[in-house]
Amino acid sequence: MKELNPVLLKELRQRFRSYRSSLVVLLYLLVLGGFSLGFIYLNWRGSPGFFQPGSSREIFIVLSMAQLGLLAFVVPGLTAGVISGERERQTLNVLLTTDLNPLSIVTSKLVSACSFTALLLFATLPLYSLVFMYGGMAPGQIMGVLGFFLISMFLFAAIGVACSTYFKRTGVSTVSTYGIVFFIVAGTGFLAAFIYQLYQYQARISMLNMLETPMVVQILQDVTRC
Amino acid sequence: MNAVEINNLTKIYGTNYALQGFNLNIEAGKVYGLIGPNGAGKTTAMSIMATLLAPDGGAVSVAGFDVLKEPASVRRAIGYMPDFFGVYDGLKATEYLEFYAAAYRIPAKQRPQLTRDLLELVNLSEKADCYVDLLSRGMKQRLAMARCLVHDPTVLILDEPASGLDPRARAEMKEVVRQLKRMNKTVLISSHILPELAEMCDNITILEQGRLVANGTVEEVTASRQGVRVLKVYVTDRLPELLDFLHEQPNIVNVDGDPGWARISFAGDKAAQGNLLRDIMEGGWTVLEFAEVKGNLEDAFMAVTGEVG
Ligand SMILES: Nc1ncnc2c1ncn2[C@@H]1O[C@H](COP(=O)(O)OP(=O)(O)OP(=O)(O)O)[C@@H](O)[C@H]1O
Ligand SMILES: [Mg+2]
Repeated sequence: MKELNPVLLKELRQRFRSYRSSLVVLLYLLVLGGFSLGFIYLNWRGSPGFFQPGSSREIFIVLSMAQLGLLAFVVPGLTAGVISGERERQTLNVLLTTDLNPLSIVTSKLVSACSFTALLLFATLPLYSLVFMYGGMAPGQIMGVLGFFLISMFLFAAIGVACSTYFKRTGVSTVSTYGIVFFIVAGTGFLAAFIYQLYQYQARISMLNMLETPMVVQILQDVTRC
Repeated sequence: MNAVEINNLTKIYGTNYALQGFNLNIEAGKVYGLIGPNGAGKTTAMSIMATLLAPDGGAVSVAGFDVLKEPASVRRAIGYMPDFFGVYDGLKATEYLEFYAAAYRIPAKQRPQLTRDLLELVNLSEKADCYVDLLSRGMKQRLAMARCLVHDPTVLILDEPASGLDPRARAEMKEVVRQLKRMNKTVLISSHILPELAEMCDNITILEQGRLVANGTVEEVTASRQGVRVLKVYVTDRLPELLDFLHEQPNIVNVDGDPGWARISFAGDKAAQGNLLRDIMEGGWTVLEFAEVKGNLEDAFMAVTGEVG
């Protein structure tokens, strides 16, 4: 069997050996679990004495949103310092004089961070049993959401690693990573809402004017005008 | 054969020349000491040799490979110990060395034995299972020294390896360097602890403000102080008169004295030295001893680095 890349092996060893990692898993599960149970509790209090199975869909959405929020919170923290941290700890120079090429160093860091966040994700799967308990959601949907999380996680991690390579200081890198990830998670949402509003507005206008101009062009014109 | 060839090396930071036309050839199998005041450019030169920094001018080749064109080959040939370095948390000393062994693609089967041998070499065998971040600074330094040797490099670039070491550890470091010399490695070592460096180096290179100001064996470097030699004269009595007398003689740069003996900075040659001795004896002094004092590296350093700038 081919040996793991030494940086990856070392990262995994350090990451999974430290108490902090177990603590992160614990906190992650506590926050997400507490959030879901809290939501069910509120739902149950607001309804006539029993929990309505119909709202399992709602739980599912809330759980997933919370999960995405947590990922956006945890992943930058895990990745924004991986290269700049080595620089600050003064271990990067020596690493660069070894036989490892920079690409393998960076990918190893990325894979190591991803494997830890993947652990976080899989650790939360039992929480989804809350959803199954009441029925109404297909396993396929949960798998789909899981896939979405894995991809988002990879994206966030890649952004974090990129920032930590680009910026010399971990502080700057962390702030930039959170900024970019926040834009991707929330900013694109706002943008979508904004464009949707424009679209609706446009639809109303074009209903009145019966213009032939394609809608997208119209939207762009509107945007540039204002 | 030259293990390292540095030709007209220049490195500029903004408007500040860290290195300015620096030339040096390092003979294979020799131990070279690199000294110079703070900011002289020693670390800069070493980083360039270690392929961590690109030169702004000139060429450097290490073990026959150009640092810019074949950095990977250079890296395999050198063991580099930076002046400041960190260690990873949560790794044991053996794991730390095995990690670097893996990074140099040394087959897994050889690593345990290699790690044991290296720890033995730097006297850290009893700390094999300690976490590296919990080792003392001197121990970390010795571990870093072992790390440099993991891939059996031919050229070692050690930037102030002895700073922060206790006297015993420094002596051990010296022993390690001697051993490296026996193993026929080329060593370039920078340090501010000059007497020690003088003891272990075959050659001393003095750098100041990015320029080479002296290069040669310890004897050559210490002797080349503008032709001024230090003479010591021990006499039985009348020392103040001797000092006055000496001040009037030719070739005398400076004279000072302690009870019983005078110290003369003398600019004349051997013949003039003989004449001086004759004159003193004819003056009626009983000379107990009259000899040239071998200058030490520290004096040479002071004399040579004072000239530039
Ligand atoms: N990253 C940098 N940016 C700007 N200037 C630098 C940088 N690194 C070094 N210098 C400058 O280059 C010059 C040489 O520095 P260098 O670290 O090589 O000195 P040194 O001989 O190793 O000194 P020391 O004995 O203190 O270790 C100094 O004037 C320093 O200010
Ligand atoms: Mg230095």
